[in-house]
Amino acid sequence: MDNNLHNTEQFIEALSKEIKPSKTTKVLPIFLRWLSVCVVYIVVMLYIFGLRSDLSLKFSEPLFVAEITILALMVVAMAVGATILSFPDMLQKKWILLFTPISVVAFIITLFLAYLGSTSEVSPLHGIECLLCISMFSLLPAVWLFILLKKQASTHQQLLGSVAMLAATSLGALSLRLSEKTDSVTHLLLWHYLPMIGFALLGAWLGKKFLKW
Amino acid sequence: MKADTKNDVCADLMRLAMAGDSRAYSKLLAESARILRPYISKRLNNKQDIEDVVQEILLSIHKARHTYDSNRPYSPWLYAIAHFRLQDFLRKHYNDNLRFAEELNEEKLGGAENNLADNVTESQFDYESVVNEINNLSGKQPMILHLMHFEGHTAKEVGKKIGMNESAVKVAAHRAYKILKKKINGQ
Repeated sequence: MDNNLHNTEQFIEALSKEIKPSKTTKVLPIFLRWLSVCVVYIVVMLYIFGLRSDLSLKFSEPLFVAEITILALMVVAMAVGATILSFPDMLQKKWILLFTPISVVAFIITLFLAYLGSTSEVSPLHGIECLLCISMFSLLPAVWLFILLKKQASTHQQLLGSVAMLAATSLGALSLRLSEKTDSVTHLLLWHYLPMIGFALLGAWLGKKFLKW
Repeated sequence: MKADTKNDVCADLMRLAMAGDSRAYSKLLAESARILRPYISKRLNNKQDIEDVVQEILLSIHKARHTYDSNRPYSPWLYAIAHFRLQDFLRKHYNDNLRFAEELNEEKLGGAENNLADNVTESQFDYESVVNEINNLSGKQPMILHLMHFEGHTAKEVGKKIGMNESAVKVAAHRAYKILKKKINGQ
């Protein structure tokens, strides 16, 4: 018998001896585990940082409501997308991943409409502080998502890392929007939303490094 | 066996394996290896490499089995893992060969820079004489060069075959090139 084939047979025998009863992982439980921890974390952070004083007033503005809603949908779309990407065959439902770019496009359109509708732009003096705040808001969600997805078996580790970071930073941006009293679209774009591109690139590197199996 | 039937059989075997049935798991892995060999053979020539990649994929199936739901067809899941591991292998293989080719190129460039004026059609060395010079090298150097250049193995593979580590193989090859370069340059 070919020596190579014989080695493979022995290998199969060795693997078979290691088999134990185990459960299949599913998307919804992973997503809910992530979300539940994140919600608690964000509530605590918002308690520490405080909500913006004009929040109830802002919720009467349609564009603000649209922005918050679409950010929330982005969080869900990215987190679910990341979870799907953690399966080798993406659950054979790649079409679900379309919701991630669709949510981004919807968000860009909302921002554009907000920009057109803004009358006077009063940019706050701070900038980098917002970036640091978003990083803080996003830190635990990002780490927790990577921990959950490391147990999976992704065949698209860099993409998964990017989408996972986008999920976490979307949540961070959403939280800061509820906390920081600023409505300058230019400021939001420069210090809240564009840096998410950098985080996505960082996520790609982290995915390649930490999501191996 | 038709594709759908094969998928159903593998899905059933995986369901039993997830419940802890080692015989079903063994059958599943054997069937997976049987499915994978033609797929891998289209991309690799060396039999040892094919079996190495097949074993790597089987190990990945073992690690990732919790991500398979037997309500989905088995083949797409299997081929997703197979493609992933094959790309890993090819990337590593080409990186090893590229690194080796760069080292070899540095040696050849070193010789070429010193002999730019020479007419390449008037070389004192032809293929047979180079082969003779290789065979006249000492120790394991002839075997190393033969395995690397005539059989196309990487330094790591040569090391495994002859019981040396990869660095030692590269050092021995490097020394052999120096000796050959001296002879070709007439020193």
